[in-house]
Amino acid sequence: MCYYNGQKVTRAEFIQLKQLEKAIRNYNFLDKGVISGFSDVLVAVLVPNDAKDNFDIVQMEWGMLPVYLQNRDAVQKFRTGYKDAQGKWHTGYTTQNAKAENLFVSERGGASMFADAARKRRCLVLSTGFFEWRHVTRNHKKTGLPLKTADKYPYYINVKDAPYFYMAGIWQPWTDKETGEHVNTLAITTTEANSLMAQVHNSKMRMPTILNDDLAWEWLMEDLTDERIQEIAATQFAADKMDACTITKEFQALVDPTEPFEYEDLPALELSIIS
Amino acid sequence: MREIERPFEIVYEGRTVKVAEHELKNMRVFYIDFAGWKKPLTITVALNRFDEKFWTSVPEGRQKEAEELGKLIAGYIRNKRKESNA
Repeated sequence: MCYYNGQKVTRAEFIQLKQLEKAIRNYNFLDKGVISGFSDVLVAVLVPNDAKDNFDIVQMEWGMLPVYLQNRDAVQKFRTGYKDAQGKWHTGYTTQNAKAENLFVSERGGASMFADAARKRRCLVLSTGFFEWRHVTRNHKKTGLPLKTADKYPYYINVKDAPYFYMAGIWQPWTDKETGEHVNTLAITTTEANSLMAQVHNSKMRMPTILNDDLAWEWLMEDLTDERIQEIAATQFAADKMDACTITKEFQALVDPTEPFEYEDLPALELSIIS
Repeated sequence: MREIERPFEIVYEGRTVKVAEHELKNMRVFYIDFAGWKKPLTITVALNRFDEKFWTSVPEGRQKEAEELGKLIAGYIRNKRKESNA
């Protein structure tokens, strides 16, 4: 007979509780309602185990880092941009997302920084839902002309009847050459927005690649050609299987950031065209 | 499939604490954030040798708090269900 917290429990229950302890030790994001790509919070990621017959849950930093970056200072410059000694501005790179169509060829037509990861290190990001901003441009009351700045409204988007779902990701190990800090960094692949996401994320018309169970398994476990990798990454999850609702603009500070919030002046989404 | 509770707040020892539910290793886990006045606590429901449910901290060592907070969490969920069924 085993004891757990002073209670007599069966051996099977004891083992299960000990396994749970281990899982909890490996997580430090249990209190995070919102995981932002612009914070240092790690995200839960599924990777194949060595035998490729099951997956392991690990944590990664969101925002893929090229191996050539020497240290965190270089990472900061890479992400936010910087002015060099001659005063020349170098634009930063956003690598939280990798477009499906740019996994192997960059937007400029050169080699993609994502290619190696797409071929060798694919993963799944476990998600309960995600946030996007809808842009609404209003007209000036007097002139009737469109205002320069659009109003932005946040939406919470999730998959109907699914407490968790998978987003396709690719990852890259990175080591700080000065401190020896080692971290795995990831990018979530994106595809063209479906009819729901085209209305919500109307500034970029993109959405994360959401995979059903079969495609998730194939993405994670199978040896795939470049064409198949790109094909899966471009999967457009069906709009009618997704929900989107407005939330408060202060959602990141809330206990429950997914709580619906109505905006009186916001035109409703056109749901009749969703299929 | 059981729905995971959205994060919520309860009052414990006169202060508001944040509770977030998760599912790990097929077990229902509640992470309690005391906003700094106590170390965060994770609790779950386990079965004793008589197949009776009991609240326990994970890892071991904070059993009293687990039982007290577990009761409050159960009460919160029960009340919420009653209200939604009313």
